[in-house]
Amino acid sequence: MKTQEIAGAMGAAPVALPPTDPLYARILHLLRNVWRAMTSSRKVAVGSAIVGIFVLVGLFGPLFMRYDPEATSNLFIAHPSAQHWLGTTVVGQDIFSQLINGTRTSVFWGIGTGLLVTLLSMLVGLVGGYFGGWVDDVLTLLTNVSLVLPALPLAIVLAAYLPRGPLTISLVIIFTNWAWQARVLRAQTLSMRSREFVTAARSSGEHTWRIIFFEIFPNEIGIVVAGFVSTTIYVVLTWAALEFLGLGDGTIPSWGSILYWAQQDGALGGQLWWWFIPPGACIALLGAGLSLINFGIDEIADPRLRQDARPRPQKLRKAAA
Amino acid sequence: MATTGRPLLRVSNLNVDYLAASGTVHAVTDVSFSLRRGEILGLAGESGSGKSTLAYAITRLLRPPALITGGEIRYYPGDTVAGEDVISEDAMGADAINRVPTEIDGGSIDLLQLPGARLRKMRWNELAIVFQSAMNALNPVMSIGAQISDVLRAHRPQMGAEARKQRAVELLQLVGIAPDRLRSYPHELSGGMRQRAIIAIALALSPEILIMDEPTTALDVVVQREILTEIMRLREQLNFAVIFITHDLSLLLDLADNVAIMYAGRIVEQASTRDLYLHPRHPYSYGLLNSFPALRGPLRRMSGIPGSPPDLRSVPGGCAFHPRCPFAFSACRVALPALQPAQTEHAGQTVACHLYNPVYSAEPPTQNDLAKKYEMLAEGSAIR
Amino acid sequence: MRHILRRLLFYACAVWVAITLDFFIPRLAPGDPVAGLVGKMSIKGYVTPAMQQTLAAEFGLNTHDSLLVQYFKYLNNLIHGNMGNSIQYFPTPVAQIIGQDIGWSIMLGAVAVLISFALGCLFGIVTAWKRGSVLDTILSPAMNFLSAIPYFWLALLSLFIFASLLNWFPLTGGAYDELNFSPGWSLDYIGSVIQYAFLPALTLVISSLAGWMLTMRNSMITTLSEDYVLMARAKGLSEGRVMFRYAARNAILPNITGFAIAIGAIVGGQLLTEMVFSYPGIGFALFQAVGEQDYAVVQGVFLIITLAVLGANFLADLLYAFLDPRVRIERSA
Repeated sequence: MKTQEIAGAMGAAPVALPPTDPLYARILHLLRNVWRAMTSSRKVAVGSAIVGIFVLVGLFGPLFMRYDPEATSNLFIAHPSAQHWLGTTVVGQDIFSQLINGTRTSVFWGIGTGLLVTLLSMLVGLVGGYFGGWVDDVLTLLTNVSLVLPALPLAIVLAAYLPRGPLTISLVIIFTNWAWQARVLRAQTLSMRSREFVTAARSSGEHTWRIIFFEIFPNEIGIVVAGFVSTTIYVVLTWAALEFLGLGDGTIPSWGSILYWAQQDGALGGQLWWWFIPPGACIALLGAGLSLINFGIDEIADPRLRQDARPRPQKLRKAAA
Repeated sequence: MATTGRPLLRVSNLNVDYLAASGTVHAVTDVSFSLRRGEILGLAGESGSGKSTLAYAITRLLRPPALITGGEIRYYPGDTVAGEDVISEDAMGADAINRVPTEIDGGSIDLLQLPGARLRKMRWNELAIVFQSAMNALNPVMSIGAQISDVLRAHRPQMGAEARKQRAVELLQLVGIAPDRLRSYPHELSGGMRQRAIIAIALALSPEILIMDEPTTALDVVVQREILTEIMRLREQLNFAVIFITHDLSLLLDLADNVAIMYAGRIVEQASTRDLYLHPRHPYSYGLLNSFPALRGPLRRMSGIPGSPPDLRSVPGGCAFHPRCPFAFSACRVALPALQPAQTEHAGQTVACHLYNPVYSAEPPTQNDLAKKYEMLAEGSAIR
Repeated sequence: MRHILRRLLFYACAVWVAITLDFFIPRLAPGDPVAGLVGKMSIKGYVTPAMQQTLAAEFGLNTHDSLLVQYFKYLNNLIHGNMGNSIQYFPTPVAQIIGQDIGWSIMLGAVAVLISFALGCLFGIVTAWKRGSVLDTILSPAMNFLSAIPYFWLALLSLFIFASLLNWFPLTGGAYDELNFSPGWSLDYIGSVIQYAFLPALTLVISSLAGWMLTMRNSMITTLSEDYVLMARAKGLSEGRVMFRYAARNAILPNITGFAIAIGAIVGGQLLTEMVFSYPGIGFALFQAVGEQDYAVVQGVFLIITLAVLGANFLADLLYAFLDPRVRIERSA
């Protein structure tokens, strides 16, 4: 269980406080643990910083754009210059402004969709794992079938038929990607369910939903967080891929749509590297930041993966008489 | 009890440390003992006393951050093949070829200095180890038979496939497993069978020394008894020496020739089993022996040993046992007692306790003294 | 045996779900699909009433069959291998188009997966065995970095650098140089095929190598601390044997499932690869069909891809059961 190990590694008490503590105290405790976890590992710190920068740019960037990203001009296919930091497109639009504008869509739709996927998989995993019986059987079948159907082709087919737009893409990605985390959480919930503290809670008459969300779930937060990060990486990449394939709404700005237009307007053949390299670099960077956070969490949870300083083999000293 | 006098293994002043980020932990400090051919030496102590670390150090299986920081382990191969084996003729002859040559350093080899290739050759041939949990020690994706022939293939290259299979069957029969189990996987065997399979693998090359690390701890008492009887029978037949590590002293009383008691990484008493049973000298040994009730005799209150073994990161100064010892006096807190022969009428018992050091204590305590002090402890705990 | 039967049943269920999805998804599209299609096709040329009839028939719109009847007709068609006719290349049957393209996808994918899996596992084993060595300190972070690069961007970059800038490889796509060579066992043809497939394959290998290696490495590190590895060493077996037969053999199990699934994904047509490099495989066909709104091809390709993936998953289960004897016994829930 990652959370307890994370907390244990910090020398702090485990996250799951007794149910008698008020909710705000437990949330505060949780946040404090998260902060400690974030700043302890270098990987997590660097990753969080990168993601943080993108979030900030997404939030406030559009306020500082020099040009209207949609505005065309006479200066087309211009190389990067002081005037246009990343040059212009084939119709003279400023690429840097487009990039900043697109950041908002890509980052927030990406994180938002990741969140929704995590929530859905949590629901399925926790409910299936806790209730067992036919509920679990049905949910497991759904999960396994969803896992085994190829995600990207299905997403493409769905996106092709449904009305274009970010909402569609978001729903499509959620529909094709909830299963993995659901399965992981179900396994974890199953093992939690047989623990004594759950039996104790049940015998003291605690309400089922309280047990699921306030007893069992807090112990799985580590896995859920790691899963959320992984999912978001995948969401961001898939989103960009779908946009790139032209399945998004080309008029709504995002990193993927910039790449789509770059491809459409022959940026490759024309060697307009400033057009398609920056958006891709942003996607890669965001993905790298999220990956770092994930690796950091992995290392905290499993000490064997850490790169400890190995003790140097010393020459055998003759023992003192 | 065939102890033929000549030493087989001699450990001198062995030190093993664990290098952790928070500091160095001395898991084994200044341990010395010797093992004779065919002898069964019992190594007893509570969890954390260093007995498993000692075993792994002897076989050089320690993993970082554990490190051997001092001492010497001398192995005396001798020129006799251990006892009579139930192996076939050609393997027997080949055995002699594969034994570690004797003309080295006047007849002995320092195990800690052996280079990689020689160490590998020596492993299992001369020195085999039986792990505590057979389930974890067996490769889950290989059949039992394959895990036996593995060893044969590595150390007896001249054996053909047929001969290996034959030997594997022999070994399984030796420990009482049906030959059709050759193709079984570890998860298909019961706990007792798995332990016996491990023993069979250990005996594959007829080693001189068998180190057994709590081989019966994970089993129920009935199976435990079976395994121990098996071990004794095999030892009678094949005459290998055994270092038997356990926290359960009662097992050793039946099985071992000599016993060494470890506490906080040091040996605190060493004696023949009989001597230890009849008159344990060290207060710790006395406490251990009297921690399990006798089958017969008058009802008496028992106290066990109060307290718990020290955290090896902060071992008490002087004698490590002094916080728990009912006999502790001023010297115990400051001076480290050396392992010396107890000055009593029975020679051959060594003990690391100031009570037996004429410098500090005029009269060594008798068995009665020890008994009385522990009874007082029991009474005291009853009142509380 | 029972284990295998249960898996078979599960996959049958999954196949049914896939077919049903394939049936319903096109019917999700709002509006009248036929009118839209006719409109699109009119741009290219005259649309005969016969073609309009066929289109309507594709969607079961001219018959007044209920949805259920349409469904069973659809199933019936599938069983006979009839996936309808392509709209772009009317009246070429969809099955024919798929048949032409699937070969290229499989060739490209199989080569890429095999190479990246083998190399990735090998690197993973070695870097875990020699943890902290020079090889490990260079390779592991490099792989971490590579795995974070979004694939299609890597593909675009490599196309840009090697094809557009350096001109070593073709830019415009295709499976081989169609102007100069024709299919056959000639060296020229094979050389051309390799030239056109090299860049796509290279990008595929680079992007997936990291995944295999890192999973293998983590798995090896965990396995290396197991007792049976310690015992294998204690037995005096050679380093190589301990590393491969005891450690790697156990550590590779998680990757094996991944491998079989990757094989299945091959038929999935490495969609992004084929799109970026315009490689005429099944994925490219899907992409073009989506763009041209050739629904028949979209449905047909999706079905084939799904069936291949399911088949590969089933094989993965079989392979795993073969390799890990613990799975074969009936597991209680």
